[in-house]
Amino acid sequence: MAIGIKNFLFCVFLFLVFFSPLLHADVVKPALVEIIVNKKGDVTIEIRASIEALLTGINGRYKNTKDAPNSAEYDRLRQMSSEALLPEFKKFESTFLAKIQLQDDAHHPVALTIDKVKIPERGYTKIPRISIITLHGKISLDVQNLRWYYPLSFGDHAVRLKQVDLAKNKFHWSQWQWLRNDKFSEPLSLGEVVARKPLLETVKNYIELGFKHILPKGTDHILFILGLFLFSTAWKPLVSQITMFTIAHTITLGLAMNGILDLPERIVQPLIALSIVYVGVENIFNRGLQKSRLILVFAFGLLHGVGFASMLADFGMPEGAFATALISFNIGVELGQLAILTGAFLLLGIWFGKRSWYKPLVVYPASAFIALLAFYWFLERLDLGLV
Amino acid sequence: MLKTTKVTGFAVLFSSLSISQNAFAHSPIKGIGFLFNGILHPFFIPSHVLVILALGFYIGQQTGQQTEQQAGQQKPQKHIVPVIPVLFFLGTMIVTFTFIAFYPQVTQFLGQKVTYNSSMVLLVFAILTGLLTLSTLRLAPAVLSLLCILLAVALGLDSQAEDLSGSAKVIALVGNVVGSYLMLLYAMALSETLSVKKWQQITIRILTSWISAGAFMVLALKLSQ
Repeated sequence: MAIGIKNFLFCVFLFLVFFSPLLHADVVKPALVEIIVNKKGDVTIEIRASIEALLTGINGRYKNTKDAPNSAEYDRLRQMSSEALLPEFKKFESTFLAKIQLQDDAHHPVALTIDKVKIPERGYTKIPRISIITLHGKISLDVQNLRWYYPLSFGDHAVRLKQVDLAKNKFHWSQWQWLRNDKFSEPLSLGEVVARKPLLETVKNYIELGFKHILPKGTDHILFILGLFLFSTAWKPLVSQITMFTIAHTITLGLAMNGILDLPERIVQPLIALSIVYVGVENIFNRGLQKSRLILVFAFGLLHGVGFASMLADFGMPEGAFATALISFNIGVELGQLAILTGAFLLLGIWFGKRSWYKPLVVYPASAFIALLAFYWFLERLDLGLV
Repeated sequence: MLKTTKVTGFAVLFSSLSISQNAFAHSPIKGIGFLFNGILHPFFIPSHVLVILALGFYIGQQTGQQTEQQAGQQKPQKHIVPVIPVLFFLGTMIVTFTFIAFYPQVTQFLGQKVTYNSSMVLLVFAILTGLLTLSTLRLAPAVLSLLCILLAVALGLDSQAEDLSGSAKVIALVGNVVGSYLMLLYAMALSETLSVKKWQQITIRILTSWISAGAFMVLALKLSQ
């Protein structure tokens, strides 16, 4: 046991003799860079790094800062107070700004200025003092991505991008990128919150939204269009009705989205259901296309337009591309309607349209089904606890 | 050549019927929703396909002979056209909804007692309806109506959607009714279209003879087990 204690103490001694320099080992930590961009295009970059290491060019490649050729200078800077160190950095500012770079999509550098440098008071000098350098810049909202460069001579670093929309209290952080190869970062996307979507992307997104709102999500609109289809196999009545419906819902969609028309959902939704009931019932007692049917379809189109607007308002409209989005959404809705008509024609019209039993076996049962289902929706949407 | 074709046809029919009993039970395609799965359901169950096709071919054959009827050979059967298939449709809907969706206890009771037999009944109907088409025999409208109602009941009892519940079950069953009904109308339309020339009428009769023969073989196999 006694031998054991002796051996242990000997080992401790050897450790202290041979490895004591490591106890003082001082490693420069990687810098942390956070790029913050807001909806106005203001860019703020916060760099958390050791200013002493930046000034002396000592970086993470030294396991111990004492191994660096200018370690004495490094130690001298670390002994300085924050007020004394700040002028030293001021002399270095232009070099610092010249070496770092923030690039936009077109690889154009974003002009950056140093906004603020916050150096903490000298504390325990065996660990690096981390200062915060705040930079400022401005970008266009058409920029979709940013890339960041921070030279390896300043040390390893990690970077991430934060997108901020204060008005909507929306934030988005990118993943951290660990950079130690003296190259630009991978593109940091601004698309989630800040960037204005490219025109084509807006068009595509809103056409898709309009289409999906009809097919497959808009069961009530699908049934309404099917109701119009079942009214007659002839093209003229179908085209007339669809045209009336389209003109009407385009008008109210535009008015509602511009805030001119505002009808409560609890009135609009039951009325939409009721309009489908009417179309289904009238198909059964159909006596040919009359003006009254077209007027009613137009009126129902006005209602459906308000319904579309409510859905579109929930999704939100892009800033600076309101009209584009509205028109694209409407195109999507029209494409959805055309898809339903094409499907109905391929599934029903082409096979049964000319049959003597088309009305009794296709139109009447399908219209009755549409009317019954829509009546159920009507009761459900009244929200009176009836169903 | 003709013999080879017939043998192949029988083989396909026989094998499809053999694997048909609930083999593709109730979710043919994932991700398309309960309604569309319900619509597709009858198209994925060979015994349902055969029974519905046989009935559709028969009704189409009877109504499609109008060309010859107009030539004075036979009395028109127009009056059966709107009535019978609608009864078929309503029968399916009533059975499916009443016994399966709204009264699960009754369904369970009937399911335990009748489910297996309902598939046998479907095979019997397939044989009978196929033979009717083959023989071009005319049934009185009342008898044909009864046949359609019974067939609808058998189809309903064989489409219970056991793995679904609540609104999902109702939606799937509505889809099932729509799918079965559409298939019937397609078969009717095809049979009507193929009723003008003699060779077209023979084609339909050959098709239904395959349906009958295939169903008969599977039924015999089941009874022997």
